[in-house]
Amino acid sequence: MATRFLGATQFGAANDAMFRLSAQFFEDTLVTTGGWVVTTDTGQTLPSALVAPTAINQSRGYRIYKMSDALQATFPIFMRVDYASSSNAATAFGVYLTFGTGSNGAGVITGVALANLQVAQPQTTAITMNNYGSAASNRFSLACGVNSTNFTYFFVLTLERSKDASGNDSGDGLILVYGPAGSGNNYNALSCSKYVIMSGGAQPNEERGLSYILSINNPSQVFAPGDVGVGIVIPMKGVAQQPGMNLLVTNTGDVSVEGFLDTIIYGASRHYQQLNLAPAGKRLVGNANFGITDTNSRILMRYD
Amino acid sequence: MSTRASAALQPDNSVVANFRAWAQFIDDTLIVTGGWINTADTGQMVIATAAAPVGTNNKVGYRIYRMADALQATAPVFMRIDFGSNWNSQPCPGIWITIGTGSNGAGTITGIVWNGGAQQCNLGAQSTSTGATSNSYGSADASRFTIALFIGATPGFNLIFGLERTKDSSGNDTAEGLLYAQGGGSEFGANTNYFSRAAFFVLAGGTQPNQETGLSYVTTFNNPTQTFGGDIGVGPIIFFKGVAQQPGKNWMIANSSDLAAESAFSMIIYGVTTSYKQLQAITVRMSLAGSAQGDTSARLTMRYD
Repeated sequence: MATRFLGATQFGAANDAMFRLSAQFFEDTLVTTGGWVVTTDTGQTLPSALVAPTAINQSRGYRIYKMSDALQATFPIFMRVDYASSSNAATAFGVYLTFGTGSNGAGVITGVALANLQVAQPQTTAITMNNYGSAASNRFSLACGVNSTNFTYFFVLTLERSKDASGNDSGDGLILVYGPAGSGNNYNALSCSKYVIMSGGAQPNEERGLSYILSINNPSQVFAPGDVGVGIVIPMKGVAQQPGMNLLVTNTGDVSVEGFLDTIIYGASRHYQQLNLAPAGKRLVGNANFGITDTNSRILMRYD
Repeated sequence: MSTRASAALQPDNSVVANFRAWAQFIDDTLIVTGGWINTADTGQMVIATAAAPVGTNNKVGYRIYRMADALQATAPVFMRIDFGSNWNSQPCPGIWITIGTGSNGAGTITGIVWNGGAQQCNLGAQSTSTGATSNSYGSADASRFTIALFIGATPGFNLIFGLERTKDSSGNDTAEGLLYAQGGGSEFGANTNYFSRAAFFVLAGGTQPNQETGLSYVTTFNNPTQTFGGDIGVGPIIFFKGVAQQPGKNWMIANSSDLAAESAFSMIIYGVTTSYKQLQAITVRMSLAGSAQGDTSARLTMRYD
């Protein structure tokens, strides 16, 4: 089980301790749980040395990580994470993500495919919350600030390599899903996804609102052999691409709060964690308001 | 090309010839274009001599059709269509559809899997006109049909519906059930202007899946679609029997900026090139968990070959 859990903590950037704890959970999921590698680039700041932001959109130090899977030799992925405040509140946690195919040894990503993608928590709170992480050397899923009060305390970020028709990793790109805040502004739902072409060039625009298939019937009706339906988030590179495995969407009536389910996807059994009240934002064609909150849907993230 | 088109039909019952014309178009699409069989049931309406509806929600008469494909011997499909007026306006065309596995010879469908005939006018236009400019399209073969009447700039005129057999993972027809979708100006006693209803009918009977009153499909947020390699994206409608089933071929959803109004396109689905017709401005309603939402920049296309 490549998972990490930290319960009953405050997640955010309201003070040094909270900011450091939040960044450390991010790094520990990647490095300790997932086996990603911290590069030797100079200028990096340990999470334990971060100083809490004093303004919105304020970076306080960066770390550079790289995947460590078999494809890294031929399709390298480097990720610079600038630990920062959110776009909405200086006290809320955020990151800026830059993806490329290398680094110059001094903190600069080379072969940049996507620069400075902001992902953030809209606001923090004094209540304690659960944090879930799951990772391997080629993917990670993070859901922090998981609570039963308000989705605006959440921070959700998942990343994995693109897939072929059999579910094998491909070198073409990355599949990202993230929210609630950052470039997105639907603070009420997980709404943003992006397909990153690692060879560079023209990139697919951000999908503002997620694409998935779920029955309108809540709870799902059950017919033999007894399955309930889950929706998988469909990435877009112009047209629909093979889905990743990091996220599922269900109807509220089908999975209990912070419960879990196992499902077979691409022929392999995977384990998913329900994320309390987190709803999906469903895409509407061309709707710049990041789709519509699918109030009775719920997000599950890969957790194995 | 098993298609039919007319620019002469009017969304109107006030003139009896108009009523007969749109009813005849449906009948011709099924029988002449598609090869469906008109059963020998007694009591059927003769379209050419039918009277116009009297009042609202008025069934003038019915016709009974059955499929004529190879599966009909083991998985029969019979459909009764009642022709008349919609729920609140005599001049507005309306139909009732009842589907089952047989008929009793006197106009009663047996083995019913969908009893639209027992509803208020289950599909109709909302608006009427004797001078509208619109196009009507039909496409059918012995195991499926799509019909779209009064297509133009006014969605309230629309009356759109289609039926096909369920599919296996290769796109072959199966005996299990039927995939039905409908929309238009009104349905079930309400004005809607939506294309929003999808239903999976289990031919063996028993508990039927609840109808999906919002559609499930996948297209990109970006309008127009970005092109990488030249393709644009379309989304087939996904039907549910509890969980998502293999899609049919009758309907595709596209983004509004990707296709011109009433334009045609071809695509490969289940390995076969299939043609579609864009159906102007009617709003597609997208499924949410427990509700639905108009996807105002999505557009409906119907199979047209």
